Amino acid sequence: MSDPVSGPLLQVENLVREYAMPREKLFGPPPKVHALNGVSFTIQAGRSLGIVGESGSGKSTLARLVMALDAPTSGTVRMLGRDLHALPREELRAARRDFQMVFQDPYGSLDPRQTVERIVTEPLSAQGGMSRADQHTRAAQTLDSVGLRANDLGKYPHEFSGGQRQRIAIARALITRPRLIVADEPVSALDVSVQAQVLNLMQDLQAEFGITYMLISHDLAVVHHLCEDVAVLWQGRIVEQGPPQRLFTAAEHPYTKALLEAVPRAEPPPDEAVSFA
Amino acid sequence: MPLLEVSHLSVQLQTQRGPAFAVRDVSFSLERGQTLGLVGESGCGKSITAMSLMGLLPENARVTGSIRLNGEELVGQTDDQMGDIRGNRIGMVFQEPMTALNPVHTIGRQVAEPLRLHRGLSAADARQQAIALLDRVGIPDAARRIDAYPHQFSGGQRQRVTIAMALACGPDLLIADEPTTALDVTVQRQILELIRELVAERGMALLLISHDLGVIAQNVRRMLVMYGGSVVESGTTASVFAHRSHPYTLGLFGARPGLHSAPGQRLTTIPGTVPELADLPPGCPFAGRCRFTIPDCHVTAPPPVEVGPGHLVRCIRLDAVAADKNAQVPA
Repeated sequence: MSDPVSGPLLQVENLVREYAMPREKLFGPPPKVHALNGVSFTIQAGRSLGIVGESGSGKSTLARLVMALDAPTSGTVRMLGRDLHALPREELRAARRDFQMVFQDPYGSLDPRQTVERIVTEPLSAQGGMSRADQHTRAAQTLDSVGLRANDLGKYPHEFSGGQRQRIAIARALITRPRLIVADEPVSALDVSVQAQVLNLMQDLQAEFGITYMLISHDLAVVHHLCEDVAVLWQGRIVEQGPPQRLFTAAEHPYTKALLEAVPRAEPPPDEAVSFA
Repeated sequence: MPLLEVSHLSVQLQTQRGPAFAVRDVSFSLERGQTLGLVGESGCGKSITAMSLMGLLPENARVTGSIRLNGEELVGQTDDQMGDIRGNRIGMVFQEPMTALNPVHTIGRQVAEPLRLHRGLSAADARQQAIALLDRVGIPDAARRIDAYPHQFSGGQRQRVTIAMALACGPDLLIADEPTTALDVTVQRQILELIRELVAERGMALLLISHDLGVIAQNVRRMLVMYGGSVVESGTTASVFAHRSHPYTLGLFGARPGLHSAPGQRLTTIPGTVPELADLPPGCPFAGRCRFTIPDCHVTAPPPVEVGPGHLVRCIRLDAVAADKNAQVPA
């Protein structure tokens, strides 16, 4: 629907977001904290970007700004060339079909009182202009592509396991056929064996629908699995960026090195004299 | 005599859907100074196993089998008797330090509480000890910060405080249930290092519960892999990592993306989801999700098979699994 654009999919320039802290002095200005401190990067279609960093590094603030759920203090977010934060409301709403989001907690992000059909078609209703019957057909197709069945549409979220709920959340993001999906820790609430199913699904969708991800994660291995580029966020700045193979073997910034070193390796030290009780 | 000897421990919980065997016939032992890891996914029974050691199971739980600490039987002890052991001879560190700490009490009071309760120390002595403990676990300027409240600390520091609480009475056994899951990876590393040091320094035994194979590999000498309430594989960490044999263990290892795998490589998945404990089939708990399942798997719980020194696997299809593994090795 949107024209193939030759320019970058997402272009973030000099993004700054300050939050005011509670006032410390009655008449003084409230202190400010810089959640993001001049972040710039570009995502080309087909080259998913992983954002890694620890809690408080600004990862989630970045996601909210890219999704236009929050306004930056300064800087721009351009999606397919258009400055999202300068668009009039109606145009922004229409533009939202190109970028969708998957949240961390599949228990908290699905309304328990709505059927799967209502949940999954919600972005279509928000866009408007599609009949109920068409929405139903699209929902059934989308569920199928995430490995659920069309007759799951009438069910409620509590009838599904955590992994299946995350598939529903992915279906909701997928239904407008977006170009970019922002996924904030999409598998960290899931068990390891279920994580693998969801990661494989996300990988399939890249190939099948040409989805590009901006994947936010604290887990370097997950980012390595899905992304062509990684940016390391630290104290509101990108301190290092590059393809994962290079970053993970030849990190330059001290924080990246610390992060890599801290990942526990799944290799136990060799057994010495082993005694068994 | 081992410090801790658990034999044929089973725990039955009453749920809305009927009785559920949360722990089925689990046996292990632990000497002073030894470290043991429990690994598995949510609902596998690893936390219930820890809770039964602490006597913290829900009222309606039925426990059979035996748990001996220094030869003393813990199964069947009253709440009061367990109260003397808990926090005194067994210390525990939980996943979420903010919920483990009481937000309306100072950390000093919370670290001193077990000392007052179990050791009968005076308030002043307990306070002195609490400062020493907080200092040992790496709270900077402990003498000044002892009167601070939990919300004034970062997540990693709060976990240090709960470790100080667990250590206060010099327990013989430290149980750490996912102690770093809520923390950033760089902080996780510091906390695990602290636990390792303290275990070595005080000659405690450590039972470390984690879903993370990396954490297990780096921190314990022996490990148990749990699935559906049963121990499906056990042995030294080195042996289980090198010669993992149970189809579930293999699945768990394959499902984990690595930092050095080829980009775009697919992860091996375990089909289906972890079964509800109330629905567990008789026989092998993994039967049905396992691609090596034969009808016999559904009949009786598989006996342990020794595949290496002290390395036990509960599976009757090991030949088929091994043949398959060899077939997959590229020529």
